[in-house]
Amino acid sequence: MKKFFSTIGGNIRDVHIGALLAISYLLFNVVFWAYPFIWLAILSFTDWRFFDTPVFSGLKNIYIILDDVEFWRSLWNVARFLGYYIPMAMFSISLMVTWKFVGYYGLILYSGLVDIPKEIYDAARLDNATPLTRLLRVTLPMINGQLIMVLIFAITVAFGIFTEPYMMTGGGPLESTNMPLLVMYETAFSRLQPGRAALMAIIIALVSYAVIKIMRRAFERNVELV
Amino acid sequence: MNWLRKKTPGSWIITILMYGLALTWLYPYIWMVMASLKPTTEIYNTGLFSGHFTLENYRFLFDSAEKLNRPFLKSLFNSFFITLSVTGSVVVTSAFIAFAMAKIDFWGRERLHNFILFQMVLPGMMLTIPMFVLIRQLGLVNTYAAMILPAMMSGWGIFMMSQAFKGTPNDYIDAARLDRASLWQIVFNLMVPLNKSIVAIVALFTFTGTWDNFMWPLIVISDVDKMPLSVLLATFSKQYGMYVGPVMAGSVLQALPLVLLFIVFRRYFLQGMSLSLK
Repeated sequence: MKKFFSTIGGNIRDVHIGALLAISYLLFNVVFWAYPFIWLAILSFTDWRFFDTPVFSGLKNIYIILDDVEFWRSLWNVARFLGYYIPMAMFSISLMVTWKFVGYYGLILYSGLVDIPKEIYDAARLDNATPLTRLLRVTLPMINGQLIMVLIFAITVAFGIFTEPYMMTGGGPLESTNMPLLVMYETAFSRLQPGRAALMAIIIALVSYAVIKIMRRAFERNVELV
Repeated sequence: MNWLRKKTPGSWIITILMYGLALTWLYPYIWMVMASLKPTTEIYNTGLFSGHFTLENYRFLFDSAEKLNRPFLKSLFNSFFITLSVTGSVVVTSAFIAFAMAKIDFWGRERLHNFILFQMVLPGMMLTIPMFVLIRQLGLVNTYAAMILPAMMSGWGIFMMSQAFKGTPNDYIDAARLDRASLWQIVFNLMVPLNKSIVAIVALFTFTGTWDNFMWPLIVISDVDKMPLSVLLATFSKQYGMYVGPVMAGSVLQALPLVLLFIVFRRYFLQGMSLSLK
């Protein structure tokens, strides 16, 4: 790369253009990423109702959230969503969100399936493998990458559900369909507690990160063609 | 998958089963379109394809601006304005910055790459509340800018394009330079046409995501004149849920641009999908 630009003789100019483009992205992120990020940290330790002056409240937000049954219930609801727990209200939301995304999942898996070399199936046939063995020993391991991707995608979607319960059930009946983002939204904008809501956002992010990490450890395989 | 292509009875059964599943998946959409074409009183008690078909529901939507203070036509315009601005901006900025990331060896490139990866790992919802604080401090609550500005650049878009741009041979850029091509020309007459699928994917996903975005406009917009269709439709169906026909007509309008985009760009979409997964 370096060699190419020096042969053209545009080296210095190009490096400047590159840096300038990078700086434009960084400036954008100072305003719309870093600044909110700092606010996120400040809000977490602040007692504030949007209109009064923010007051440092130490760990008070954490204590309140630890006691907030509704919030933990909503995180548990994510697990119930992913596990298709039967109570009808949650079931209908699971069904709806799954239906919405099943096309994407299908495309991801499909792109993995078409990349499996035919020779492997021929080899399996020579070994007299039954269709079931073929599925378990060839197809599923070969699309492990895509399966993991769908899994991560589904988890991310589950933690990010907002529209469906907001529109369909409003979290009810008896909070059985309350989702973390809905609790966060209501904490911030109905109960006017942005500090607590910010801390909830951090907790939701940490929990979803942990779940993804655990799932990857449990199911991810390094499949290599020899 | 050769055994599926042979015309054995088994493969026929599987094919029919697959079409059946696809139809099951499509059924809610078909129902939505049919319901939007019938008077509300007939939606639940006539067969799917029977009843009196009219465009009354759509007329109701566009007339309800004065009666119910729900300017649907305006919100359709708002949705298009916001979505096209964001998509246009993301595609242009991503193409330039991705070109720099892929083909120019500037100082700090590795660090910028790592920073973008870090940004992509963090869920965007984390910043929702502090972003609202920022928008309020800037005095942008209830403006189009609140929905457009924070989304004008996308780390994901840059990442996707720069991965693809790396695969474009340097010789092409070399030749373009010899012909005294400007940076703009190199990016838009060379890099973008050569990587059409990935650019289409970035554009399509940005468009879909912005068009369907619900939580953020719900937070920053309370003025019905500036609401995008997704939010206006939600407030309408929350308040006037018994008008099933008009709600369905609105949902058809909400889904239509995405369906059309997919049909038109289907080829790029499938190519880009398998590209982005590698």
